[in-house]
Amino acid sequence: MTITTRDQLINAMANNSSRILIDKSASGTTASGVFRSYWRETGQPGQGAIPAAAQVCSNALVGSLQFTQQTAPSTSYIALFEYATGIPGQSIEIHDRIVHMGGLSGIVTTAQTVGINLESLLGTSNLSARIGDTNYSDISWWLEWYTNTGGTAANVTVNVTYNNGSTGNLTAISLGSSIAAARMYGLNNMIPAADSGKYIRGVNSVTLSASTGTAGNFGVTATRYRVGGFSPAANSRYTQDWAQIGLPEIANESCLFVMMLPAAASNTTIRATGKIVHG
Amino acid sequence: MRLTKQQFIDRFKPEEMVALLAAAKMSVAVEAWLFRFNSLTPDADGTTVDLTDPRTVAGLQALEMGGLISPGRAIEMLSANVSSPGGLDEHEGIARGASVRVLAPFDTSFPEPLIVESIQQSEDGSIIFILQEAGAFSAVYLEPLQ
Repeated sequence: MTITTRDQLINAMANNSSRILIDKSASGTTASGVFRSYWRETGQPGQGAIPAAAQVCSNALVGSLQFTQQTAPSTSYIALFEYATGIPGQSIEIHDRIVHMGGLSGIVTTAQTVGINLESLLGTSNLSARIGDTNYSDISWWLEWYTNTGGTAANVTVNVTYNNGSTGNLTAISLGSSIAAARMYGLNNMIPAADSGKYIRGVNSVTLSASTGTAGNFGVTATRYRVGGFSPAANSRYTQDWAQIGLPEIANESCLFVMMLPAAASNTTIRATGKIVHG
Repeated sequence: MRLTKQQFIDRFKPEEMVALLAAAKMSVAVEAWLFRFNSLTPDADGTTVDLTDPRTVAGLQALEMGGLISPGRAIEMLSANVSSPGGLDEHEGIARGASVRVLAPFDTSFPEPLIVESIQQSEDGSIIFILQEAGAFSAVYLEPLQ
């Protein structure tokens, strides 16, 4: 069964939903225009762990929003999303954290193994339903920082496997110096012109052009965008209902967490609530 | 690594030294730092400044935070192998000012020859080549052009 009528939606909103509750502050150093993760921030949901080897994320991980798991054919949707941020102009997003890994070093200049191939993981934690389109076009790939790397402005290139099985290097990302924990650098927009039309299925390795000077800790994360919102004014609540957010389906075992696209180089709190309806 | 006072002063660019002396006329904190530096006496080996001494590190970082030297200069000046302002003159057969080709896997992102603007030592002691706006590279990803 799926929700297909307004009556079913209203009934689910009133009688069959799980509550979204997010209350987190931010640590570290935020950069304007660079996505930042709230995975490692404390509050509610709790602080997610720094991953080591590649791991499929699930609803069982600390750091993920909790919701009642459904028995097919019943499923779940985000139907209401309300939020406030401590500073204005912030874009906040909830993603399903699909796979992550950490332990990459900022001082290693040879290729560092990542070893994520979504195709081989589809049978784990309901990934076959969670990834969306089978060509992997719904997946966002990131380099995610867990602890700060050093002051040298190195470049990083990522070797990937595309949906057709071919491999290649993404266009190098110029990192700048002193990359702080929680920053996330998108990989999808670094697909070179020669590989246009392909989608990233897996990440094989990461190579730095030079040592940043400090090992730090960063990794590769794959996510799927589910819902987002814009906060024009500070400490003011904005509400988006099911029609505005498109009633995105939330598959069982989804590891929902918060990210932000900051408009300013300032840390900010996120307070949000909402409903995940079932039916 | 330890330096003589003169070697340490040589690590400041002329404009940085001018800014430092000017700031000392207006800031007691900067004047105090200069007073401490001037009061140092050489050790038995003739050197005076220990680049690993926390007071040296903190002093240069304070100058950087105060805007008297540019961001990144504190790390640069604390590096062990700096021979002159701007870094090393040559490393692994690649000289400052040389034209180089960037090697795989970065060659497709940087296909054109680039000039080595400076050769620096990173925080962890590794030597890095700064290629114009392309940023920092290890020698293993560079090939000098004839």
